[in-house]
Amino acid sequence: MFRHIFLYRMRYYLRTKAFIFWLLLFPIILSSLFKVAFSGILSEEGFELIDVAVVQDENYDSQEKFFEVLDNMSVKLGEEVKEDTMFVIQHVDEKTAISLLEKKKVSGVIYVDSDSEIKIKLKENGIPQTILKEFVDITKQKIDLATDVAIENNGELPVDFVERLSVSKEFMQDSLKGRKNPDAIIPFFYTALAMTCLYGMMVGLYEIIDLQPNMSDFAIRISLTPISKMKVFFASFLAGCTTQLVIVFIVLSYIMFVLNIDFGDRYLLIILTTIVGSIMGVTLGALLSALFKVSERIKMGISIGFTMFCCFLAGMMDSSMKYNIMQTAPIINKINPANLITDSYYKLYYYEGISHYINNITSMIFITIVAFFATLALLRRQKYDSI
Amino acid sequence: MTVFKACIKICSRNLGDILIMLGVFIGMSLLFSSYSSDNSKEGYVNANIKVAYIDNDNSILSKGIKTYLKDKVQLKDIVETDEGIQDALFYRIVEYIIIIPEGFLDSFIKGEIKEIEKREVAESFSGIYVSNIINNFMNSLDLYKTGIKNDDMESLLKKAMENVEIKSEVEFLQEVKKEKADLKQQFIFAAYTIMGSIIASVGTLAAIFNNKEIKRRNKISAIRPTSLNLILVLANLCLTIFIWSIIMMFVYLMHGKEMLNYKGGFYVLNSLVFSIDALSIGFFASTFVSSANGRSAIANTVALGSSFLTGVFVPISILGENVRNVARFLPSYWYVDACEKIHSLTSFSLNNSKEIFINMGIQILFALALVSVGLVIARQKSLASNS
Repeated sequence: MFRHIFLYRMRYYLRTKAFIFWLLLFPIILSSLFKVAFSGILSEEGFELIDVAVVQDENYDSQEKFFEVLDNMSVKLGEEVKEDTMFVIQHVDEKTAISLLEKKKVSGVIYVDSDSEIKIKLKENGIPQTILKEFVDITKQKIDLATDVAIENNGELPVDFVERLSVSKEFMQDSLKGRKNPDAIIPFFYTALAMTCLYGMMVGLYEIIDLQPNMSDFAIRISLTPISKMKVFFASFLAGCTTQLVIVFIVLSYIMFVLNIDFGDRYLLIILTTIVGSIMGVTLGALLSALFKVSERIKMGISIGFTMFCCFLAGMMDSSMKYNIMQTAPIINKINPANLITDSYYKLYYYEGISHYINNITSMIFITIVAFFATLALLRRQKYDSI
Repeated sequence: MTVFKACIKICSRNLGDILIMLGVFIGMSLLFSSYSSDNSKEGYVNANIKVAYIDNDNSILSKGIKTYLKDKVQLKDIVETDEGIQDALFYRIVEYIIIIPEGFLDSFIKGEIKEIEKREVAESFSGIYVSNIINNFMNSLDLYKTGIKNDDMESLLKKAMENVEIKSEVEFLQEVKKEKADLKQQFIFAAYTIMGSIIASVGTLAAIFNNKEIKRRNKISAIRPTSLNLILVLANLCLTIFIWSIIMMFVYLMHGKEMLNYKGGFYVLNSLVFSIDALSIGFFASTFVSSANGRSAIANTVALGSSFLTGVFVPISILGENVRNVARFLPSYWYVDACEKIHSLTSFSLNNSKEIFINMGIQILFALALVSVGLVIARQKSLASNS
């Protein structure tokens, strides 16, 4: 009998195409969108030349050295670009410079004031402006430094110093030790997977609805049969879990192989996480459905709302949300099912050991078991006398 | 009038559903805005970046670098084992870790470069900032060493520290008011809220009236089809405005004072136009999806998907030009863009606001297009079912 119920329930799921479609398609669409949206961040964009206006007035000559360096890194407007060029400069008077800046035709204006100080005028703050400012600062520093050195060396500059002046050495290097650095993009995909697992709540929801005679006709018929409700529940619950597992694995394979997102190489544990996550989702849905005596639509609404809210707290929309919560209310991260699933994948990817991961998977299993038995308890109370 | 009353009845019966979704979305937006900082803005440098400094050299040089960094970043202590480092980055206790190798001072004096190891959370502007200031400092130090041969490390350090403090003065054309972007962020996130709640809710009415039997009964009734449709439109509009006002109410509760000016007015108007857009998307979706679950599915997909693509969660300036070009085909892009433009308004004038009105106009065009196509589809369907 068990097998019969199981098989028929599986058939039922295979036939409700809209349902499966929704559970499967939404995560796939969403993760594809992630990939499209974030591919822009990962691609190396070429360096864009920065337009600068230099005010050529009576104070200009007092900073000859500075402008010599600037000219070395620039081309004039209309000239051909050389290697190492960073800026496109125009030598204009003050009024024209300001007008160019207003119209955003240049990113910044460099001028020398009456005290022979180099100053910058900007309209807004952005990457070109930051680069321009940095360049001016560093050039000023180098000129000052060279002056200092000259003073110490009685007006001369050592040859190796002059050579060194035009070189910029790199002192920082990414550490080669340790596995990987935390990634900015990958966690989004992990949350999409967590969302897929939690959408299994809808499966769990319907499992219970189809068992409660006050909710569905199907359940009325089932409650008339001589089979124990528990047996029916276990069999159809198993069918629901199996369906959800298949769905989540399809989504996982899509994210891993089609979108090429790195999950690390601990495949067995990844599979374990996926299995536990899916079952947790279905169980939570069942619990929700057994707990609240409201209409089917409202239950769906609650389950979708709960899922999106949990995923939001796990950092799906804004990845810093997770860390903010960690600082203000860390307990939420420890019980949020979406976060537990996301973190499990992330820990498998990032860490080499297993200790961090064990905490997560234990919590997930604990939640699943508690939810399952709570559901059972709630179901048992609903017995129908012969009416 | 009867029809309108029927619509109201339908809505009030399904109110629970609508309010749950609305509640979840509003909850998310409240959390999002209370935690969000403008640190995803392009070029923004977080000078409060948390950095760990691991000194394996313990020399006057490494201590000097630490002193230099003290007031530029937020130095934090972490457990200095391999695992401690991994944990620190994983839990974002720090976002950047500097590891000074043993023998750093010795190699520096010899003129070799022993690189400083770094580990960061993910490539970010703040991380680049830290790398840059260290490189700049080390380069200055190296230059001084090359130029002034007989100086000792302490004196070199002092000179370098003074040297890198030389900065040029920056003037902005107008006071770039460091305006809090809270209100802007709130309204941008509202795109998700508006789309999610309105698309799902609007479909309810349409689906019910599209029900075959109900449609047939209405067709043979005394009411003209045009009148019927108009009343439906009116009812949908009322529902939309109802949902919109609830959302506005919450925004006002959070940011009341800031909204009482021309900018607030623009934000509110922009969001009303966008709500009409969401209404048209909902209407369009309801022409070919009639089940409640299907509509909920579409609502979530469209809301979440287009929110990601059009820069609601991650600013579009970070996503890149390719994404921006795709996003232009989505109505929410123009809404978000208008919000950004409203935020950067410095004064109220017809000239400045021209662009904002253009954005709103484009949104209205989207609405008209979607409604027209929806009407055509609906008409085709009814023709098909008749023949």
